[in-house]
Amino acid sequence: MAGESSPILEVSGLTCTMGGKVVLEDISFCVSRGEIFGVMGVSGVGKSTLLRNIMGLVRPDAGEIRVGGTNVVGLPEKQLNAVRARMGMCFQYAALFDSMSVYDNVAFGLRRLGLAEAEIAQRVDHYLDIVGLSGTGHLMPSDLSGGMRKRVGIARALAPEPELVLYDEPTSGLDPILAATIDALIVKLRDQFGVASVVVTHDVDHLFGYADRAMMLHEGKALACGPPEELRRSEDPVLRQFITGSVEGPIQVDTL
Amino acid sequence: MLAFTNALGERLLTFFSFFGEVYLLLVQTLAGLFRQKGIRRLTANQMAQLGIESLPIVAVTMIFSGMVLAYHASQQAGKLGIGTLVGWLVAETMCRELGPVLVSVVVAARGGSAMAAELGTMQVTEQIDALRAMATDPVEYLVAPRFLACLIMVPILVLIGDTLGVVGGYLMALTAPAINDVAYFSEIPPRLAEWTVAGGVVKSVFFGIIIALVGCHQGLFCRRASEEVGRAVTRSVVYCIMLIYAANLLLTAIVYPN
Repeated sequence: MAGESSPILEVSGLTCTMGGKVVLEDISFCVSRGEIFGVMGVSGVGKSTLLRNIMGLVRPDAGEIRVGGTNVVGLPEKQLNAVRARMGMCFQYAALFDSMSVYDNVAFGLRRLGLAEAEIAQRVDHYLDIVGLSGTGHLMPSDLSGGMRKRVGIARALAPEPELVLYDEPTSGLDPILAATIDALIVKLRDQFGVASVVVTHDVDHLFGYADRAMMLHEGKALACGPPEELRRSEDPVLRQFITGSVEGPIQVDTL
Repeated sequence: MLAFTNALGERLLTFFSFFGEVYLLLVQTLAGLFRQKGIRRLTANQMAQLGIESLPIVAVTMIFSGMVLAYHASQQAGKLGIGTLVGWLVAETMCRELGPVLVSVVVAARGGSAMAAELGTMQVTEQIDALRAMATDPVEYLVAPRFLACLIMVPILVLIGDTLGVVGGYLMALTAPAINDVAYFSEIPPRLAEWTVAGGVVKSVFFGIIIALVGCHQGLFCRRASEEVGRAVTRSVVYCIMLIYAANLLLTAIVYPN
């Protein structure tokens, strides 16, 4: 097992093609323990694919992904599960299990850990409380609004207390107050428990408010990577256009 | 001509890869049966669901089939003077063929399609990915319990269906003068061999395997679009029915040799 000082996540030379199209090309970065790492880019640039690669849900064509020192690329499913147990993933559309109540959704990962039912109940209550959904355990996912589903998804990912959490658009579709609450939660997990986070988003303003470092993906490549203030000062026209959110610039959007 | 051979080749590839994928799923499922913790509870849930979903349509199908069979028999029975044997004729037909095949087709249409729909929706809404992300093998967690449930429930439903078919025939016997309704049931036990009933059950075990594997395969391999779920459901029913008919010919020759 790697020491405390080694990065929790190291990605090097990651290349991934989907349906014959190169989605990610030669991506390299690392995330330290207790660091919040942002991944930005226009829609469809491969941000979610990057997270799916890290989780081992998609197999890359080339490159290495080391989670806590273990290379997950090419790892058999069974050993991969041991690595996955150290990570948590929040899906963009929550991906809650429809057939289970909110309580059972959040308890799912805890039951896999083999915890006692009393402790599971305590932790489920705690994490539902953290995302502001106390007392909703008995509801079914179909009873929830989009924002509530998303927060249950976050509680479900956090409940097993992973070392690394992958967030896919954690605040999209939430109102500004809830979005700020989720941002504060990510920061709190870092400051209090040393949890590392990879946050995929296109909400640059929020991300720059709390991320330690961020990476800009453009046309499958890592265009820039560094602390928010460094990225803000960048002269790169693509990055400038993305950060300022202007229509004019090198990124062309097909308009109606 | 080239386009034709290309299209033909593509079809053949799809055909063979389907069998390859289903075979692999079978191997993974068999291995998963022993690894999945709490498989008893998951299987019990699936058995209850499959039974509750399928029993009404199984009952309707088999009672009416029994009645129709007895009606046809009544027209011949008078001419041949075998009015006392209609009960046995219905029972023999039910146990050998109609019970296993009709019940399996009905369960494929009701339960197998529901499996394809549920797993397909889970695939489209990333729930399958969420399972994997939470270190849970979807085949062990989702397919293995459904496989066991079909393996157990389809033969049980077939036995219920056989019985209901015979009862349906009796209802017809009560109204048809050419059938001796008093002898209807009493002529069955001495003539119906135990193996005739068991053979049908043996066949239905294999039909159950086909229903679970094809239903789950279509769901798990569903592409990421909501309209694909509908296609997966339709395909699961079509493939199940074709495979059940083909397997029935082979199994019948093995189970009831000349």
